[in-house]
Amino acid sequence: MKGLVFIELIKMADSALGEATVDRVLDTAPLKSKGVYTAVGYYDCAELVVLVDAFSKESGIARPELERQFGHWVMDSFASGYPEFFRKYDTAFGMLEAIESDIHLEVRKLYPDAELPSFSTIRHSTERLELSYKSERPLASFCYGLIEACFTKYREVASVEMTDRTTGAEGDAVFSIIKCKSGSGVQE
Amino acid sequence: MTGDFVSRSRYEREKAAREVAEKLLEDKSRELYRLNVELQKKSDTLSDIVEERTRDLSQALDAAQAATRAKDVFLANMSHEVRTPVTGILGFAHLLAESDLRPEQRDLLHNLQGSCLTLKHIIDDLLDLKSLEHGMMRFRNAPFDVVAVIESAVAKFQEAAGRSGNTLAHEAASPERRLRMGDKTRFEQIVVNLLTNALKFTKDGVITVQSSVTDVDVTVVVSDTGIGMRTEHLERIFEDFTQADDQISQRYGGTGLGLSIVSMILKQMGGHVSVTSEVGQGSRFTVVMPLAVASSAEIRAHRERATSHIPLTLSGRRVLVVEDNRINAKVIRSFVSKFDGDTVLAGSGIEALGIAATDRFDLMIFDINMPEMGGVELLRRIRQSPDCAANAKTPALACTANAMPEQIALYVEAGFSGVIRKPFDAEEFHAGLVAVLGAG
Ligand SMILES: Nc1ncnc2c1ncn2[C@@H]1O[C@H](COP(=O)(O)OP(=O)(O)O)[C@@H](O)[C@H]1O
Repeated sequence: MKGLVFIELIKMADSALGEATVDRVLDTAPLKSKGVYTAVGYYDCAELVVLVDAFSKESGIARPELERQFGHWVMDSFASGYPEFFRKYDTAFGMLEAIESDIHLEVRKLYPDAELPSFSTIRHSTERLELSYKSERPLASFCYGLIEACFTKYREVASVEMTDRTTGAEGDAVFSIIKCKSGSGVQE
Repeated sequence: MTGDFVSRSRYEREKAAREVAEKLLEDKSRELYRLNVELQKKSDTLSDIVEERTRDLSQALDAAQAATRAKDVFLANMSHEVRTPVTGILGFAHLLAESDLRPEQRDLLHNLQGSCLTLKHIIDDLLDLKSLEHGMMRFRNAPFDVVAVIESAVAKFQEAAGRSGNTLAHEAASPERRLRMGDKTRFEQIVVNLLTNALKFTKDGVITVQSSVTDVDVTVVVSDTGIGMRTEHLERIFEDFTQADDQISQRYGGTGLGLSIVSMILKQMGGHVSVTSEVGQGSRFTVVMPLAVASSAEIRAHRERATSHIPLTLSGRRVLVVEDNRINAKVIRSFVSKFDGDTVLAGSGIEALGIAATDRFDLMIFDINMPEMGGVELLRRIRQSPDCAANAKTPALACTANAMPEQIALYVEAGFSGVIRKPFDAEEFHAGLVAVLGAG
């Protein structure tokens, strides 16, 4: 998995738990990388799971909830790092529908070996979108957070309901999304 | 631990991460450099390839242009070579027809003339096409009766229609406003070309010509119940030398020029032709021509001009005919005497120079292609030589089988007052004389 994600997770943990706690986790957790991450490197995804678990224990926040918060965090940093991506789409639905076709395409141009999850969407009506997530990593709740944050970015209000069908080590979930209030474009 | 310091382990981790990142960056730059070099190489070979392709293409273009030029030259030569003997045949056939003949001889002669005229029309078609391609065809603008032209064309085809078991009829939807301004000959040519095709491709069927007019245009529809054409062929039949398919020329003959001439004439007139057809059912050609209604003033003006034509005579006039082909020389002499003129014949340019130095003429008719001294050179010498001063102003006609439009322009520039195109008939010869004597 891309080092950027580890860096973001550590940043979030730094701000929530303090550097001392984070350092302790990184020193003691069984990490092959010894907690040395760079944004441009690649690291074993299992380490992310180990870290999420450890931070969950330290903070007393259940793992799914922590993942979800992390989703919000990543979406925020993504939006400030790549505002042009968001400006391309008028609505959160538009953006979510474009992940597979546009965004992943761009990501692959930069990182040909990135292992990307799949997001397929079905637009049932102007207000209803169904998104299924399948990944080699069990990060359905992380995904949940990303989706919710996306609506915030577009100043829209939506109810997002997740059916987590993950059984083994691979992520599998369906998100049923109903838009309740349209926004006024992406928030800069 | 206070906020101002970081732990040793964090420091070590950050340092290690920085080293890893630097190494990654270094590797990436190397990779980029290598890719850049490769790209440069590719772009170099690419421009080589583009250059090479461009060279190939321009060579191909040169070859194609050379081929077109060769085609034009060939067409000009062919047309000259064929015109020369046809002139002789047509001329003598015409003179023969004016002598006493037994009915069966007259019949044979009639057939001979028919075949020869067909041959002449094919050559004329080729020339028309050239003129049209060069935009050099001039259109007359005089009043003529559209219904009468169609009717006379239909009448000419009645016999042929009967022979192939066809009925042929003309329906004029609007018999009024039939006097229009335009080029009668071209109008007739269009109708005749369409009728020729209709008859050629129909057996035991019905051929109908329908004409109708509005204030601004004239529409002629020629429909038949013949073999028809497949849809994919419909667009191509208006191209030069194109027939619906290869079997057509084997079974029906033809050159594939008739319709391209029709469509080019119409294009220059601002009209258009369209066709619908079904295999085995027949074809329907619709031609729309912008021909304005002739006003009574225009009709009067043209009638006056027409009656102002004095019937042509060469009586009492001396004509110098220079022609190396003895048969054609005789034909020209016979035509001159038909108009009561006196001919002095010269078989070459040199001989003609001698004659022009001692005699005065009212008209000179020169062949153009002659060995040693051609007609153009001969005219130049007669005009300049003090010996020939008596003929310095004698009008000259070129009588030639070199009848490509650009060639004719050349002769006019060289000082000829007109051109008689070989082969010619009595009418065309007359027209040539009228042009010159009017100018002289
Ligand atoms: N009335 C018609 N019925 C069927 N086919 C026709 C008709 N008129 C023209 N065509 C097709 O169009 C072709 C081109 O016609 P044209 O240019 O007059 O050349 P040509 O008649 O000398 O072959 C013909 O060869 C024939 O295949």
